[in-house]
Amino acid sequence: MGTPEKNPVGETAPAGDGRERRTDTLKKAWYRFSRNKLSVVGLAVVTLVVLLALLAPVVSPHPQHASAYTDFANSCAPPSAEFPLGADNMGRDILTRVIFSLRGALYMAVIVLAISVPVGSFLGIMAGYMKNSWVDYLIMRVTDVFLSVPALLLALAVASLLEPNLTNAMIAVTIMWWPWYARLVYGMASSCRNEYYVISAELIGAGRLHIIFREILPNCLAPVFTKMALDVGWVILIGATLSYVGLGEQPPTPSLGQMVADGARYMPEAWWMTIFPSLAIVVVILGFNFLGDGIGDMLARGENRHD
Amino acid sequence: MSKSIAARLLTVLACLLLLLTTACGGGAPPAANPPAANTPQADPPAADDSAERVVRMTHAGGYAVDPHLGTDSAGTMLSVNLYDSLVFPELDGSVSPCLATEWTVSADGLTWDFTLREDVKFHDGADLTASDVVYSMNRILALGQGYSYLFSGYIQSVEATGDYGVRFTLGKPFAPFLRILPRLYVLNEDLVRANQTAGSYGDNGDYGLAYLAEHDAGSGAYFIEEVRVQDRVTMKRFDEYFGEFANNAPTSAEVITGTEAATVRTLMTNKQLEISDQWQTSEAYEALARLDGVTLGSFASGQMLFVMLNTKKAPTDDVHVRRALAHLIDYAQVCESLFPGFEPPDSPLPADLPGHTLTPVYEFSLEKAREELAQSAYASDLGAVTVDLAWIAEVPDEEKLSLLIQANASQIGLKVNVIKVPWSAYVEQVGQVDTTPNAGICFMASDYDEAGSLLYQRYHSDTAGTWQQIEWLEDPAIDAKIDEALTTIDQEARYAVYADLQNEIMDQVYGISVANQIQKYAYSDSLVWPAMDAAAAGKPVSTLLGYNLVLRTFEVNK
Amino acid sequence: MNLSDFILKRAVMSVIVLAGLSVVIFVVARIVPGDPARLALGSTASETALETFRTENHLLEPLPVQYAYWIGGVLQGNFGLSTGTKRPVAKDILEFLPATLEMALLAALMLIVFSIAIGALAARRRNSFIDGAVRVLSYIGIALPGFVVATLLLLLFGSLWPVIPVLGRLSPGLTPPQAITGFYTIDSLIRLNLPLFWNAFLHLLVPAAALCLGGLCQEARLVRSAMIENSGRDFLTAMRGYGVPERVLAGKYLLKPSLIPAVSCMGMDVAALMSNAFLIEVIFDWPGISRYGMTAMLAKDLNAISGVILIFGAIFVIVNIIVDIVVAWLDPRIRLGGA
Repeated sequence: MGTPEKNPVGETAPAGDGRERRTDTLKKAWYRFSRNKLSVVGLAVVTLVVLLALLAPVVSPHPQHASAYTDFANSCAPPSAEFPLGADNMGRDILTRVIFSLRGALYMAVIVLAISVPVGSFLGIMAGYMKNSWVDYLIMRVTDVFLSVPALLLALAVASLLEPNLTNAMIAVTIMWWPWYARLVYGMASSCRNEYYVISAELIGAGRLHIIFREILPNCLAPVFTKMALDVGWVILIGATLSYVGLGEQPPTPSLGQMVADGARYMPEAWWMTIFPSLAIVVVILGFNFLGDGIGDMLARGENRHD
Repeated sequence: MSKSIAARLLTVLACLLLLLTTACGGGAPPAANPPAANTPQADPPAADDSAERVVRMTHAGGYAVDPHLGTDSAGTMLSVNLYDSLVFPELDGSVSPCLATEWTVSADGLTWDFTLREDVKFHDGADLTASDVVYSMNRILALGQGYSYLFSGYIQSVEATGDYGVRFTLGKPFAPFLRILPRLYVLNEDLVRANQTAGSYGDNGDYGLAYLAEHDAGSGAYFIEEVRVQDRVTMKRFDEYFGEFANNAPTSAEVITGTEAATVRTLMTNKQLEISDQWQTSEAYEALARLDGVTLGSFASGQMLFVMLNTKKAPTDDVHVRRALAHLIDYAQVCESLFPGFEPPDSPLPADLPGHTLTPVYEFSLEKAREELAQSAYASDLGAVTVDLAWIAEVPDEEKLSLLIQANASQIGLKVNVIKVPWSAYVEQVGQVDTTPNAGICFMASDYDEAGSLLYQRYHSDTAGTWQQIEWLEDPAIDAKIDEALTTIDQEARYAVYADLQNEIMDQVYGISVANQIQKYAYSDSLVWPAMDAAAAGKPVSTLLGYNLVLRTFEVNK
Repeated sequence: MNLSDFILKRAVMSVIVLAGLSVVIFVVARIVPGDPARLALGSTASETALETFRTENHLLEPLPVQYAYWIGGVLQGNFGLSTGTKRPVAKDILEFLPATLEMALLAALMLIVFSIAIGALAARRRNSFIDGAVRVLSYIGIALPGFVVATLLLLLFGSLWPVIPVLGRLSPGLTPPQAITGFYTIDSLIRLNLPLFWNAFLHLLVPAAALCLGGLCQEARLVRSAMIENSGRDFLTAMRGYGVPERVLAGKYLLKPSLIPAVSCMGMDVAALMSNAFLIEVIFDWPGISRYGMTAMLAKDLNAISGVILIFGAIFVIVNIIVDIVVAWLDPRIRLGGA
């Protein structure tokens, strides 16, 4: 939680291997991915989650319950055939709301990563390429500043100062997220920088842009992709935490954190209001973690993994 | 970076660290008693000492201990028990002597002379004299916060006419002057002055703001034993109080911060809480009532549940949209399932407020709402308009009402956007027309027992941009009527203006009155709570915030 | 590079980083939409009162000047007044910090002890039922957000099975021990008040457990894989050849190198602990700095937010320096500050 970086940078292969990898067949990749059964489970869970989110209006039992809808006759109704996971205090189906809340969670993860990964990677690669220049110092010191406080904390602070809604929650999390990529890519780029293929490219007069994007960048991609896959889970977790304290998606649009927070007021009688959204959070994050590990296995080679 | 700068920076860091470590040693809350005096066990000790009768109550946080800063229920409850005022508000809207034994008013209604009791002692043993009253009045006016606005428009000067005589000079006549006087809580001038620090009030320094954030300087029936910030305020009975205590009145009381349902439930289950706060959901009250030794009680206390409407922002600037919204609320359902026990409105004002009059009301009807909407300027392009409806995050039941409105509005094609706003953010948002939402759900009580008070709070230009009026009426005609009423000494004539205003407000839908609030509490059945007994017997209770919680009138039985 | 040079360098860097952080948090706190004076004084405040507040707090000056005033105060330990508590933020922080540190230290202790114990157990019984259970549970533990853990524990111990107190630092009616360290457990021990100590300790357990769970699962996994990896190493085979007993082998030669990846990850765990504390203190009604910070955030209490974030930044930076030193001690191959 708030600890997005779990794959040690040291695991990444020496730079020269980048070329070899292109010859890898899909089959080999799948073999490496599926060696760990959990990765396959992760893939299945993630596929299911994405499908549910996309098809939410079709697959959920009461699509109208995902927005402003009140049915006080069924307030806090226990799980039944009509409400498989029970109903909340407004008489709305929990299952429907869980399914719909996957949309916001995934949307947030995609947007946050789509912005923070390119921005962070770009800054990191620039700093790494121009190691020991003022660009390096400026970028990396700013990065350090943002990494000097746990991500969730500053995200909470920023989100609380802005108006509470999903967009601002995404802004807050994005602000906290890019430095991880800047630091990761910086480490890769600054070590590539002195490899022979970079030096030889410089010698034959290749332009800076060519070197940065054609020579260095491809060698940084594997760990970035691995980290991205893992980070989807962590972004969802932080998003859920923000919405738990009321700083994310606003009612009546459902979000998992907010459902847990609302349910806590009705414990222990209406336990289903808390338990099922909690379970959903765990399953989604687990799924992305397993998938991320699998992608890590697929992209990295050689070393022995024991879990 | 040069070595010397580095060294200096290092020193700074070291100092910070040192500060941090020393602070950890000295910073924890002071303990009033040596710990050995306790009998701690894994299970909480009940107050078995027969002399000890404690009343503990939860309240929403964010209140001020300083009586001149806040207007919220927790802060007011503290003020009522820690401090005294010149007069005490009675249930019928009149006032009785308290610090003042008698008073006279000049024929023009501008000069008020009060004679003080001579036997009143502050908690530190000092005598309460006229200069304390003068100091307190001036402090309220200078700080300009809390209940200050009640006085600021009228008080021209205040002076001591002797050790025990005070004269107020008003700038214009103000008929209900006696009714706002309970909000003048009298401080111990010498004590506050002795503890004031530097500040922006000249000779008065910070006016004791820092000191009074954690201490009291009153003469009330209880004094503060300990303030643990954001945690609790502990009060003890003041034995030299000049007034009377009930038999078995509490010897100590605690205000515990936090209204989380789980906290309240756990505390009540363990018999560590005698009175719940009034902000629980109806489900939570039912669960509390099932606990052993806990009963549920309620009284109407002059508070009203409003959906206030911004009349200066599209689309609620159109009276037809406002009327449509008024028709969209299912008042019967609100009082049945959302807020069980509440009473539907019969006027823009609470039913038991002196000066209240019956007016026509809006019935729940989608058909009528649709008709009104069709007459509005926005009828041609309904898809383009949105009504932003804010509810207060600390009061979860308000969400139900907002969703009910949203659901009904969607049936007639009106888009309502529901926003959850923390109280402090709401207060700030409504400070400007542009950031004020179209609609805001809010509970509100009259500051003193008279229709004029609530009319002034809700509709006078002075209050535009406060949480009490998001309407932004700023209508000179209405201001004039309110001012006229408040300066009319003759009650009948005054009430006639009130009635006129209530009809106009209802017709123009300057905010929707949704229901008369019933304040609910879960409380220990070992407690005798006069307001609850009065309500159960069908008698009136105080409509003045805080005055149903006068602890010295409570009884704690074993 | 020797140790003192390393510490000096890191300290200087930390000061720069914290200075940067102060700029960031100040700018964020000042450019937010809204009127800080209105936020501070409430809805009934008069225009004069608002004006006084603005002048007092230099709100009418340009932003850099405001920053200069603010940081000047911060360097003297003055973070300004909290609008929520109406007291100096520094005073609030000093009052609330010990409660958080007490809980966090116990959580850290639980994290270290249990992660090594569980990780080592799973490694020694590799592929047993215990190993499988540890692996699955650790995965789930990592994926559980702090607020979910706390809410579920509150449900369990608060209402279903009330065997242990879960709310606050002491049972109501008890007077806290006179402050020496600010830690109720230690203070009550110093006063030899054992019942009070026990009460305070019981109150600590559930919040601390909720706080450390995520890190614990992560660390247990790391210890387990490192031990399995190291157990096949040549030096262990050699030691085994010398006839060193398996018990000594595991304790002395296997465990220490296996802790390196876990300890390197400790910085992350501290981050996790500090973030989680924000929700856990709110849920368990723990009167610490995080609950104070959370309240400040929801009430937009600008000075308090800035103060809390800065303090957390300082703690985080210091802990990370300590972690680096411990890693260097465990692994002589790592040169301090190298690379």
